[in-house]
Amino acid sequence: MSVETKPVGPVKFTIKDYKSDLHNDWCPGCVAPSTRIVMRAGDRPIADLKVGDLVLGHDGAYHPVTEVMSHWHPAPLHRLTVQGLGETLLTEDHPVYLVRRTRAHRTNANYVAEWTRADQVRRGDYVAYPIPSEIVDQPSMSLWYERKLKDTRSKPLPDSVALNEDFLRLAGYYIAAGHTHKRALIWTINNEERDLVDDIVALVGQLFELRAGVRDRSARNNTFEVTVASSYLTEIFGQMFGEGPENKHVPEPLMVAPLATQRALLRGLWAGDGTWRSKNTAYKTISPVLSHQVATLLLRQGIVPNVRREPEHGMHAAAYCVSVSNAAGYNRLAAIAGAAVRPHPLRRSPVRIIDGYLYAPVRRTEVVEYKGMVHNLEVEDAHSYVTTAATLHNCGDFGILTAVQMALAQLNLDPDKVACFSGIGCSGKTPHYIKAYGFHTLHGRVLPTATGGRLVNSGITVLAMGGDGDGYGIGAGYFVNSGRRNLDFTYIVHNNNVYGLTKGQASPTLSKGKKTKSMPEEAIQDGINPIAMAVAAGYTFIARAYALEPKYLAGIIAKAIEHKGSALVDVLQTCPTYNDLYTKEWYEGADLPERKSRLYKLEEQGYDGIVKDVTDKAEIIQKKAAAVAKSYESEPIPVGIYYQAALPTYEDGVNARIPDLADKPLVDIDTFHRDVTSLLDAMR
Amino acid sequence: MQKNRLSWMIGGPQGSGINASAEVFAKACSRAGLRVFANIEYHSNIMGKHSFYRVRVDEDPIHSYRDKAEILVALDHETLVGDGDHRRWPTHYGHLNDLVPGGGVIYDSAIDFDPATGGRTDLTFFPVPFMDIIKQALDGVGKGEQARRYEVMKNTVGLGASLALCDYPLDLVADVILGQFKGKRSEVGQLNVRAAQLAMEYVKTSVKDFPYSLKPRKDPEARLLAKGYEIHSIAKLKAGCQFQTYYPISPATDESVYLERHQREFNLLVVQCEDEIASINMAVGAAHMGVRSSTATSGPGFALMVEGIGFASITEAPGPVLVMYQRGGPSTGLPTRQEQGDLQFVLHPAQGDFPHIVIAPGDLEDAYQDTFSAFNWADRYQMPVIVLSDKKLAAAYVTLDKLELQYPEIDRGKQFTGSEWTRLEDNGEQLVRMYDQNGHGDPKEYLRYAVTADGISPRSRPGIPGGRFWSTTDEHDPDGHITEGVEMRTAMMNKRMGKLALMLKSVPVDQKYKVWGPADADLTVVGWGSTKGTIQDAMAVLAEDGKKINFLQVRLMKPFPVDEVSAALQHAKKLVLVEENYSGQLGSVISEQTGIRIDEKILKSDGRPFSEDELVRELGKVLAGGKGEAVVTHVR
Repeated sequence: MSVETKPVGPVKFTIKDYKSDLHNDWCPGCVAPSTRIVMRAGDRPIADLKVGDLVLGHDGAYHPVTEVMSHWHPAPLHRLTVQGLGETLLTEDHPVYLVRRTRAHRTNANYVAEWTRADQVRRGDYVAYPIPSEIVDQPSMSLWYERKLKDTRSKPLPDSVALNEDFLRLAGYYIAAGHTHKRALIWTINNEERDLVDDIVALVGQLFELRAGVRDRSARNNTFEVTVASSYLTEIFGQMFGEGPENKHVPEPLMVAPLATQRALLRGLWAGDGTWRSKNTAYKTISPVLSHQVATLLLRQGIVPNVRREPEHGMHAAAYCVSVSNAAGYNRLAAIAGAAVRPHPLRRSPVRIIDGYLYAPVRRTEVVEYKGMVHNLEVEDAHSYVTTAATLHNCGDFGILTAVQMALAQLNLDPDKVACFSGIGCSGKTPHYIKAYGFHTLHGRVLPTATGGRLVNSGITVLAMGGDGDGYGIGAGYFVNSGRRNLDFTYIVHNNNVYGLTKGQASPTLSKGKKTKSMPEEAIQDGINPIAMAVAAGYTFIARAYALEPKYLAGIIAKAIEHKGSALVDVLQTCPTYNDLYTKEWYEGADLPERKSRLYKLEEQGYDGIVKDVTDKAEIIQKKAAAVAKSYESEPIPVGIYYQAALPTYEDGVNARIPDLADKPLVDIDTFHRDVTSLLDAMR
Repeated sequence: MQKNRLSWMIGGPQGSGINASAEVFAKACSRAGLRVFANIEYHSNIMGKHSFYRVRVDEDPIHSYRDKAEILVALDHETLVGDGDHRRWPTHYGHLNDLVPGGGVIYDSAIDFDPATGGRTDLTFFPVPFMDIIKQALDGVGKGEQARRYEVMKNTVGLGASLALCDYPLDLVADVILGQFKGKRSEVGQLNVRAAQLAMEYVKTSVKDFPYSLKPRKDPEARLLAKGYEIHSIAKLKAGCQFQTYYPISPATDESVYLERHQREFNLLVVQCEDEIASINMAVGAAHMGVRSSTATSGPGFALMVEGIGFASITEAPGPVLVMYQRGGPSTGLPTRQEQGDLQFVLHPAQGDFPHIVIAPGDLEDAYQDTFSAFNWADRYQMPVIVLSDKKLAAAYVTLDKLELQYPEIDRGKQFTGSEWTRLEDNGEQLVRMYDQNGHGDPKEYLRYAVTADGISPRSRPGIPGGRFWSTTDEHDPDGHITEGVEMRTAMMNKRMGKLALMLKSVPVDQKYKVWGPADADLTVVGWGSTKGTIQDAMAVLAEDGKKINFLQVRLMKPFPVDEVSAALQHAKKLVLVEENYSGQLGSVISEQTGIRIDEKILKSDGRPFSEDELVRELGKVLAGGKGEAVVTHVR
């Protein structure tokens, strides 16, 4: 499919422009709507997340959300309670990233995490919880505020503030003990901590050249009030850190600041509102976002925190208590906070921090009744996300959908000029989730339908998609003939070796002797080789990619769309529900001694399947033969472009027959005023 | 002497050029102001098996063939005596049986045949040395020794010889022949004319008092001589059809090949597909993409297409229009023969209850209008339309007084054109869809399957700004997304099925049904499709005998015009069903739709259409109080 990839004026489409309003409801594995998801900017209930939000993945880095989905789930959920982190409520089939406990009542010697279904999690297993590792050493932060014309009282502020230990300490003081009131910033400090008051006054003067007033309110409530009367700084602090206790939070740049700088923040926080006991230190807040951020700041320092929710009682809102009670953490935090406390006597925590992961034991697993919506996400690259209490896999089926949307955005195609055709099967539903013209056709008939559509309107980019059963089984004849025609369109096949929608029978690509868990007997007929078949049929762009590498897949799909001629993209896909042979772990080679991926990229091995001179028959034959040879490599499996040749298309042939079609699409040609006199004359 | 009323027949092996001769003869007669009904019978075979072509000529309108011909041109032995000598189950016993007493037989004197043994001493036999005449014609251009290469000209020799019998002027025939060989091939044309002339002269000397003759009329009217597939094709062109798909199948292929031949001049894209499933689905895809699309097939192909009919219907595609040329079934059946055996099949082709339109034209005039209207209906009611034709209608070569549409308007139905919108407006970094001043609806809310009062949702097509939609073969909601909800399912079923009643209300009455002949007839013939002409011919013969018969032609099969047909049936004194199938399928449909049973049936299912004589005989019997019977073509 050749396309005009130049942007139309200033219009630039993004992946969001290709998302339909239909939320996916066929995704296995979901969580309750209130589940809080860890993001680069604090955390938020999953139900509020949107495409494009940056969330923490199991690799400890932040990744954009590429799909949100939800569905109605009137069935029990599993509740996992994790020591020190809290609870997560999820469906039974949702994979959790955890380490099996090797022996009961003993801590593990080794920690190797794997994805485990929620209903197979046992008490004592360790949830592998990634500690955000991102560090951005941003020297300063700009202070943006709107200069008010009539405000003559507030003094102008500097343009920016350095992100140094001084500022972070002051931030800590504000987050812990400050609030905004009208046009003033107010710190409320215990009257026993006069040195803290002095530090705030000094920092405000040093950083913002503002004067802070101190009011002694010992008589009323044993506090000092430090007040800065600057409407500008009030606005800035309110936005940056929150205006009151319920919405206090740490802004994004501070969460990724270098560890030394963050220590100043912790010091400020603890100085402002930390409490110390002999074997325990705690920071309490009514902001859930802040509680998790504080825990994260501690984890980054190698300190194991314990977050506990204290339910609301009377007039008191629910509070979150982030505490540290293990000896190593207690002592380290005391050093950071500069607290004059006696070192904690040795008490080992069952919770470990090793190589960027917190391994926290599951304390309880329960099944609870549930009737309501459940949600899931698709996350770029990581394919996982982190709740405040566990690390979860994302939905496995959406790699291809996301990749298609990414490819469309990459090519900047107008959604009104894209038509997606699909067959029947799980993959057949894909067009419903793409904001473009969508045709969900018959089982095995996607290619003829797409062909008809493509032929009569050459102004439309046509994508066809379907499963391996749809394309290589019931639709095999059309698969072959569409290659023969070399029509300018792209065919994306979801190849997962099973018929998912009918609960996992063998598809035409499953090899002889294989048996998935859903099959009563092993296969006694062999699988076909779609790449070799495509070569023989005459496809002029033949590629293979892996669904769980959507970025790479998107690149391949974009190239396929740009290619002028019939393009096949065979996408290796897992079926987490029915295919227990070709799983994510299998593709990743988790069972191999060297844990090496079972996939490799053709171009990285110096393979080039692109025909340079299409008039050279020998080169075409040689490239075709090479593609076929590559297609028989099994472990590792090559991905990438196997073969490409810019040969004349069916449209070229049609245009030669019907010259007017070269100028405009058939649908735009007036055929309603035909003069048939010549035909009638021939009958006389 | 019987003037201007005869049947001329030519027989020979497939590939021997009998079509060419018969059609040249038919055209020569038509141009001379005579009316023609010509039909071919051939085997499903490329070369060699027996085929024959009948050309009936008359001054009055005719729509069927007669049992007996006046002139036979035999190119081979089998034409004379049949295939009983070499076939276990003979197809026929020689066309000598198909001649009237006093008829003439032209045959190749090289054939080993003794007229005395043919059992027809009442005929006149004219043995002609076909190859000698060809050689003679070639001698004129110095190619005499190449005669073997020109053996195919035997057909022209036969034709020329037969002209001597009926005393028809050669120049009319020569004009037609020369018209077919133009440019470089004009020399071949001249050779053919020469051969015809020599043959004519050869026979002329030995003809005396042959009782049947043809004479050109003075100032002949300019009539057309057409085959059904051409008429279906031209109707498609007139309707603006842009896309035709097909998979080769007898007898439907001719239509697609005809259109393919003219695709350049009319901007009509014809695609030959890998099978009929591809044909129908391509056509559905094209219809959704906004063009008028169509396909053509016969029974075995339609058997593959059925899922596509359901697909088009549930997704409310504006088409396709499908011309279904029936042939002898079941299964592969009789690929080149006639039958009206697929009525019930096309009425119930796929799973579930879904709307589609079926209309069965009775002759070329009907076929022209119905095929044209089919595209309007497809667009207006957003459903597939089947035009039920057959082999007889497709292949019979018939005189047409004129070709005119009674309802010539093009109607593309309710469309969402995007004019309600302006294009994507660039507003800084944001894309904003703007209302236009008339501002219909919420721009985010174009619903392809909106549940409207009349059940018709304005349709959009890819490329229309703001007209984006989804469609699915699953049950769906107004957005086109899948639903299994009870209420939405019910609303959608009502919406779709309700369109049939709407359609039925607006179709002109004469496209639904028509009663031909006197209102107070003693016998009402009930029939459909291509038997129309035969029934009309038989009625005319019986009327000369003072018999009062009329004919109820049912044309619109789905939605079925229940009220009108019921009324017409109740009004009849006596009913007889005439159909070219085994079970009387229209009778079953009528019984299902109206509760009226027709007990008298004249049925034929041997793969050949009714002849005029067969219907005259059988209708006469029923009229006289006898029983209607199954008819078998006489072959002995």
